[in-house]
Amino acid sequence: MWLVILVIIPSLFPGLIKIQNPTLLTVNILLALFTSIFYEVLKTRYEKQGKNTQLILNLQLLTSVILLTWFLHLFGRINGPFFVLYLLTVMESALNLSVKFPNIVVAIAGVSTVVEFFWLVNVGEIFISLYTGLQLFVRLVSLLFIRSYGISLAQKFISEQESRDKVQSYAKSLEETRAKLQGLNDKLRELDKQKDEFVSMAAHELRSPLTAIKGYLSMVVEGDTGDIPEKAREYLADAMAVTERLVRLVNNMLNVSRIEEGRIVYQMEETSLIRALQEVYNSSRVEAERKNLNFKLSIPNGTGDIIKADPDRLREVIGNLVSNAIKFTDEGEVVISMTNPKPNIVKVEIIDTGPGISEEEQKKLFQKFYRAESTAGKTFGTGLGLYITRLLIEKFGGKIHLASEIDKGSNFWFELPLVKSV
Amino acid sequence: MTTDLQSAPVNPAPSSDKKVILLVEDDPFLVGIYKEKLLIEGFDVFVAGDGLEGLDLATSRKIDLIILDIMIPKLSGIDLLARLKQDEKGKDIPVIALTNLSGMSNEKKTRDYGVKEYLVKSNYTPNQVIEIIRKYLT
Repeated sequence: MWLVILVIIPSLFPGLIKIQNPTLLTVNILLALFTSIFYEVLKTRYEKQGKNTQLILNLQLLTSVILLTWFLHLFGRINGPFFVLYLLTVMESALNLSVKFPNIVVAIAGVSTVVEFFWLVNVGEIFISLYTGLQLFVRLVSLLFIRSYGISLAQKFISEQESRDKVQSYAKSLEETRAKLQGLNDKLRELDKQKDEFVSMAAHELRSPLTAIKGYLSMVVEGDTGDIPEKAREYLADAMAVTERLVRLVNNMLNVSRIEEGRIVYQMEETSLIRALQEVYNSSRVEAERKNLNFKLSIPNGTGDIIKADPDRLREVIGNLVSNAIKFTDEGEVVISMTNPKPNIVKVEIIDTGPGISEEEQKKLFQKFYRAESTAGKTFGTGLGLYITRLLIEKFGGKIHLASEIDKGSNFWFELPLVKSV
Repeated sequence: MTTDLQSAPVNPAPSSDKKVILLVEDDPFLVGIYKEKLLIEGFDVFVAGDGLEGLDLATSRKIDLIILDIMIPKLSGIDLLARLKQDEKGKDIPVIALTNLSGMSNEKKTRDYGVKEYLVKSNYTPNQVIEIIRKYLT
């Protein structure tokens, strides 16, 4: 727009203008107007279509500089104050984020200034006027300042734009990463759900045949089919014990994820620990006898035993500890003992004369999936039993401990609070 | 094993003072065991191989106790319970869930319908199941 001003203002003072031809003046005014309008329309159209307007801006700038130079020439002496318009053009080109443009503008301005001077003065008088030479010198020097100012301006804008772009691209990549993680998380959750469903179905499928085996065996052993020979009873009892172990394995598999996720219902009630111990003792006797172990249950008279726990889970805890003790002990004894170390506490110990557990392994024993190295390959198991035992005892308000020495045996013990002190 | 589940149930003599148990179970092996054991222990037994048959028997006969599996064809044990509780005749019959499905949601659902016990089959021998049944038949 300033091109228009540049043309119109001098036109108001026709006496000062070098060219007095009104037609030429009108053409120039129209040319300035037309160029301005043409580029504005072109820019708007490009923006509407979403195209890059950089090319238009650059062309507009170039045209401006050329026209500026032309008009400055046309208006002759009056052009002095308008020389500063080069500064405006340089700044505009800097805002267009091109470091090269200030150079081009300044070069055109420089050349045009020199040409202008030669045009104004006669070739022969070139060195006559000191004043004119000084003017030329000041103009050229000021152009150099304008140039470096324009370039520093452009660089500042470019670096700001770059850091803005960088921040934006960081933000974008952060958002992408977050979305990706969210997707992965959802996928994992879905997989976990599928795993749970699979385990649940698998356990159900395993339990049906196990129930049938256990049911028929127990009916035969309990005499529902009449008398059976002693040897057969022995074999059947062994089969029962192994089936029991399988049932426990399947239960452990299911329990571990449920306990961890708090998806288990505890039927917490006041229950007799002695009864639970006796039940486990009775059902484990067969296996202990088969291994010729001295298997004892020691409960002094008057021991307080009423605790708050889930009776079924309590049997699971004791069953796990006792079956481990029997499994790993090849000779000697397994003793289940119960005492009241304090009036409000009951302590249960399961003591065996098995191979013992090294201190190293004791630390890791109650972790998920951990199986003592000394037992690996020797027996089967999932490495979940003691982990579940620990979780359940903690749920009942107690803690599990272990004292063991290699080649001497192990003592697994836990303490639980009594409902009523003795 | 060829237990025909669709065959007529072991029909109890109407006059006897024997307690009548309805066994809703689709696994023929398990039907064999529990039916056998219940008969030995002196109960009368109806067997239903699916949920619809179970509901039909529970609401049309005089039943003292229902042993109910949860994963059964046509009508699941939980749906059967829901319909049983709306039946004038069926709503007071004690039910023991005997299933191999364990887990909070199933147990909670059945307990909400007033099921007396929720037993995981593989954890109990037939003898133990009978003991528990007797508790609810006095």
